[in-house]
Amino acid sequence: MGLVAVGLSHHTAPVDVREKLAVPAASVPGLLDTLRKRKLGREAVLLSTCNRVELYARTTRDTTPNAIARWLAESGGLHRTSAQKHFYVYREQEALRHLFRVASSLDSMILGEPQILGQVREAYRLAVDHRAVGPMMRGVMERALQVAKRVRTETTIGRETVSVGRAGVNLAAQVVGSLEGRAALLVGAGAHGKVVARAMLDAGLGELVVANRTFGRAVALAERFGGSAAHLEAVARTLERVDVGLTSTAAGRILIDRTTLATVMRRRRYRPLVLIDLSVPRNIAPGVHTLEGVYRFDVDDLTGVAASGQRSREAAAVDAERIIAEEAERCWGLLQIQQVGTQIGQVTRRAERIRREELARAHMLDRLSPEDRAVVEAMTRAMVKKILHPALTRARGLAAAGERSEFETLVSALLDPRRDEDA
Amino acid sequence: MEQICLLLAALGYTGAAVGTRAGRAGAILAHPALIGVVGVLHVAALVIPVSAAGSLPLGSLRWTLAALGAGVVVLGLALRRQPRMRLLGELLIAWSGLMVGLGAVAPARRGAEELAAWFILHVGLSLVGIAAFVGAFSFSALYLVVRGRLKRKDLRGIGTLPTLETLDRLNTRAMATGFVTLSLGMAIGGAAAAIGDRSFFRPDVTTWATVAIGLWYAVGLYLRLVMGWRGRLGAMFGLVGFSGVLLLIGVAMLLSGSWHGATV
Repeated sequence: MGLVAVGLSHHTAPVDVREKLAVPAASVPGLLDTLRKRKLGREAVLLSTCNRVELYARTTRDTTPNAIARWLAESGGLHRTSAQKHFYVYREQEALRHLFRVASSLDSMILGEPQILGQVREAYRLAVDHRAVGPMMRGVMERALQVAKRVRTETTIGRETVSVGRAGVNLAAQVVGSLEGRAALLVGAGAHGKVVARAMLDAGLGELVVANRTFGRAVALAERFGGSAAHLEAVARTLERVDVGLTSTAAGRILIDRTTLATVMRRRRYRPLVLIDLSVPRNIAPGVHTLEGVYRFDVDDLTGVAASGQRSREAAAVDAERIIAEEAERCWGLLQIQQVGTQIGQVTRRAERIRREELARAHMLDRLSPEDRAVVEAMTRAMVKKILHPALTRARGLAAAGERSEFETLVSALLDPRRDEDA
Repeated sequence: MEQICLLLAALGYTGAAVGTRAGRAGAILAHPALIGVVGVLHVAALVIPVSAAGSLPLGSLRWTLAALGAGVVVLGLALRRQPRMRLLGELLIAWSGLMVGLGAVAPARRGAEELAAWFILHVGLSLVGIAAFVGAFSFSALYLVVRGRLKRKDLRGIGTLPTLETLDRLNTRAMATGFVTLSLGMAIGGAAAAIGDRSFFRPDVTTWATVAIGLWYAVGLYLRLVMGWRGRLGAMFGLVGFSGVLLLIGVAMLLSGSWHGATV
């Protein structure tokens, strides 16, 4: 069949190797052209993301996947020998299965992340736009996109969060609903606080107020996040109007106690307030969680949610692998049927060409009447058909029995490779 | 025949509601094809009395409960299609199962009221009101479940449940809808009675219970919409209020077999 997947990823290559090989979208058409001009592949799709550079191709008869790997390494300016250890090669059904796993995010650094599907779709679109795909790669890529969609629909692989920032967003949203147009207060400038605040802003948070012991630092951070700054003394007053409070300081003591918060909640008329304490030692008294309308979470809760999400995705990955194995088997079977049909078609077309050539050589046929000529045409066509019949029946039998190499040998013998290199 | 259809529909809805939580075998009970069959039985149970009477049997406790169950199950099935509303949808389908089951054992006797336009409006609006209170109950119950899990920090899979804000909003809307439609239904019933040969206020169990339920939800809505109180308090109003509705249905059924049959 000639389907190969050649490339490297975060599993096999460090970032300094990956960044050298990364191909910007604008350069993809040029590379695909070169690939075809060098007769390394008849059809190809190049997938280049921050975590992987992979070429999915239908190779020519004389190409080896290692030659493609060498060419990829050279095009990225890597030394072919030192780069070789980072490359992997998958052939035929394994290449198909690998593509399905990649598109379904089972091979991603973060299991179940959704971006890869868009990246695969974009790589395919680029290849289609530059006429680098034929019937086989089109079938393979479209099936990969469908399989990835099926995996996301039928399993929970992308459902639960696996990052601390996103866990903070999800917990807040579980109480107050969508964060769009909501307000939050960030107390302190700790790393975790900034991560969660950034994730909330990405989720549509309408307003962020930053409070810090050093007001200048609060102003600087607020400018960075496009929010406003407040003095530390104004925290209780600000909590009366915001929906989410984040603390991430090195104060080492309780900044928001139960008594203060009880007053805040009374003034809020018990409108729900989510408090996320990312400091260690903690800044928000644990007892506030029992107040009506207050939902307090700390860094352990967030990492717990992220870890639980990871476990959930790992469990879902088992189902996803089953779907992929099943789809790869089915798709491979269809590709083989398609391929057998194409190759048998090549044999019959070649026989027909020979028949026409031989008839054309026989000049006496020109003197025949149209009726007699039609009889000769029908007779020679029937002869060719009868001669080929046992061989083609045998070839179909071998293909159906999965005797691939014997099928290839028989078809090659029938095709005469010296004349039909690229038929 | 009608009773058998209703009993089967009640069992089918209950199975569909709990089926998805009971492993692979249970999933068969929640299969769309099976729900479709149950729906057909339910519709048949609604159509049979209509064709027999030649008009809507709105005075029949059995028929009105079955019709109420149909409205609730449609709402439940619609909600179940949304990922975060799945549990809520199942809760409503379970409620529908209970109502249809109650309908199956309730008397089919019709009231004495004529099927005038006012009567259809009176019963229709009251049923919409009760259906809205069923919704409010479900939103309230789920609110307390989600709140409890957040307070206990039982956060595994919490993202698959509706948010507290959504449940609170839906609860308020359901209570408001129920209150308005039930009040209108009561007013139309009273006005029609006053225009006829009876008094505006008919002192039977159903009337008193409906007034009490209306007042209860009025207080709940005042606290939520005017005083701004939300969350657990609103959920408690939804829960307790619906208990009153259930009591009303139970009393009406046990004492008289029709909505306004029992006097105090």
